[in-house]
Amino acid sequence: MPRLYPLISIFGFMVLWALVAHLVNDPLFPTPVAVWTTLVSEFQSGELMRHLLITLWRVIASFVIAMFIGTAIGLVMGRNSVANGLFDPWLVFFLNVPALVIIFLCYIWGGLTEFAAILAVVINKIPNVAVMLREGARSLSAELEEMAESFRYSTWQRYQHVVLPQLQPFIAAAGRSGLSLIWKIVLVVEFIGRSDGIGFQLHTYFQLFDVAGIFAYSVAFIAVMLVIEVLLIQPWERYATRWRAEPA
Amino acid sequence: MQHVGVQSLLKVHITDKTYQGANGAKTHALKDTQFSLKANSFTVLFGPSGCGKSTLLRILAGLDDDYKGTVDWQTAPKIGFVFQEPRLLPWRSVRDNVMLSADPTFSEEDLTQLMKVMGLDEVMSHFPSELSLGLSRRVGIARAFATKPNLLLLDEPFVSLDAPTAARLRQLVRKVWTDNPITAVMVTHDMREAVELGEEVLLITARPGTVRDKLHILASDRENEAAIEAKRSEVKAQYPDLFEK
Repeated sequence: MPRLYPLISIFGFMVLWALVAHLVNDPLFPTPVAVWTTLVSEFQSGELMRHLLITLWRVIASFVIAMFIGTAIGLVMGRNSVANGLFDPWLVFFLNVPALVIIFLCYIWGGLTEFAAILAVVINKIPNVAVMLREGARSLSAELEEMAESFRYSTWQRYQHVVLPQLQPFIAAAGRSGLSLIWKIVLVVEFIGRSDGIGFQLHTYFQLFDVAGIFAYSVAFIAVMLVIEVLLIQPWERYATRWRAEPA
Repeated sequence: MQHVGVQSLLKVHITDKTYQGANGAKTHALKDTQFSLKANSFTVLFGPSGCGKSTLLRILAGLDDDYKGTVDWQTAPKIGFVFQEPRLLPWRSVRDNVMLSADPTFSEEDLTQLMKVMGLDEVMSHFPSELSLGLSRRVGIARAFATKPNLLLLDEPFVSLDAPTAARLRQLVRKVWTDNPITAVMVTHDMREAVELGEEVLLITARPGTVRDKLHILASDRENEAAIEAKRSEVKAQYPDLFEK
C-alpha cells in the first residue's frame, strides 16, 4: 500500500489541476489534457526530440566538465593550505557572481556560440563542486593514508582504492545538486543565445503566450531528468555504498 | 639452530625524537635508543603506554622521518604493518584488502593457503563492516603477511580483544610466523604477549623512551604459565615503572 502513495498523490494533483483549469477557463491556464495534446503533437512532428536531445547533450557535456574541474580544484584546495588560502577568495567571488552575469559575459566575449554556452554553464557550476569536494578532501582519513603509504600503494592505487571511495558521498552530493542546477542554467543559456534546445522553445512559446507549450516542454524535460535519476544515479549510489553496514 | 654470524637486518640508533605540542612545548618521545634486529628474529618492544614504542615502529616503517639518528638497513626495506585499529578499506572485500597490498609473487594458491590458516576462508567476500574486531585484526595480519615483507611490524595487535580471542590470535600469529619466519617487531605492554611471541624482549622506559634492558625468551617458556608469571614478577621487581598503574 505505501508504494501506491506517490501514484495517489500524482493522481490527486492532476484532478486538482483539471478542476482549477476548468473553473478558470482561460487558455493561459490550460488543462492537463491540453498540455498532453501539445506534447503528443510536438513529439509526432519530431520537434520535441530534436530540442530535448540538444539540451540533454549540453547538460551532460557541461556536467562532466564541471565535475572534473571542480573535483580537481576542491581536492587541491582541501589538501593544500597554501592553495586554499590563495584561491578561497576566488571561490567566494565566483560563488556569488549571478549566473546571468556570467552568461552575458561569455556570450559578449565568446559570441553566440556553442562553446560560449557550455563555458557559461561550466563556470557557473565549478565553484559549487569545488566547495563540496574541498570538504570531502578535508575529511580524508589520515590513518588510511598512512596505511597506503606503509604498504607502498602507487599513486593511482591510492586514488582508486583510498581517496575516491572516501569522496564518493561528496561526489554524489555535488552531482545531485549539480545536475538540477545545470539543467536550469542550460535553459537560461539557450533562452538568451541559442536557436535550439528546450530553453529556445520555451522562449518561443513565451513570446506566443502559449502556456500549454511551455508546460509540455517543461514536463518532457523533467521526465527525462527523472529517468536519469532513477536509472543511472540511484543504481550507481546503491552500488557505490553497498559496503556500508547500514544503508545511508 | 644458530647460524654462524647471523646477519643483522637493520641497526637502529635514535639519538632524539621530539614532539612539538600544540602549546609549543617540546616532549622527548625517544632518547638514545639503540638496538639491532637479526634477520628472521621476533623482537618485542615492551613498555608502558606513551613510552614511544609506537613512534619507534612508525620510524621503522618509514612513516616518520622527523628524528635525529640513523636507521641503517642492510637491504631494501619491505614493510608489512599490522595496525592497532586494523585500518582496512571499508569499501573493499576481505579478499581485495589482502590482495591490494600483496606482493606481485603472492599467488592465488598462497592466498587460499593463508586465508585457511588465518581462518578467514569463509569470509573472503565479506566487507570489513560485517566482521568482528577479532576477524578484522586477522585480516590486518593476513594483509601484512601477504606483502611478503622483510620486516613485519605489529602495533599492539591483540589489544581490546577478549582473552580467548586474543589467545587464539597469538597462536595464529605464532603459527604463520613459524611457517615462514621473517624479521618481526611487535609493540606491547602485556608481558604474556611478549613471552608467548618474542625471542628477544626489549624493555623500554617511559618518556623519553630508551632501551633499558633485554630479555631472551626460551622456546620452552612460551606455553608455560609458571614461566610467564615468573618473567613478569622478575621484570616488575626490577623495573616497576615499566608496568601500567
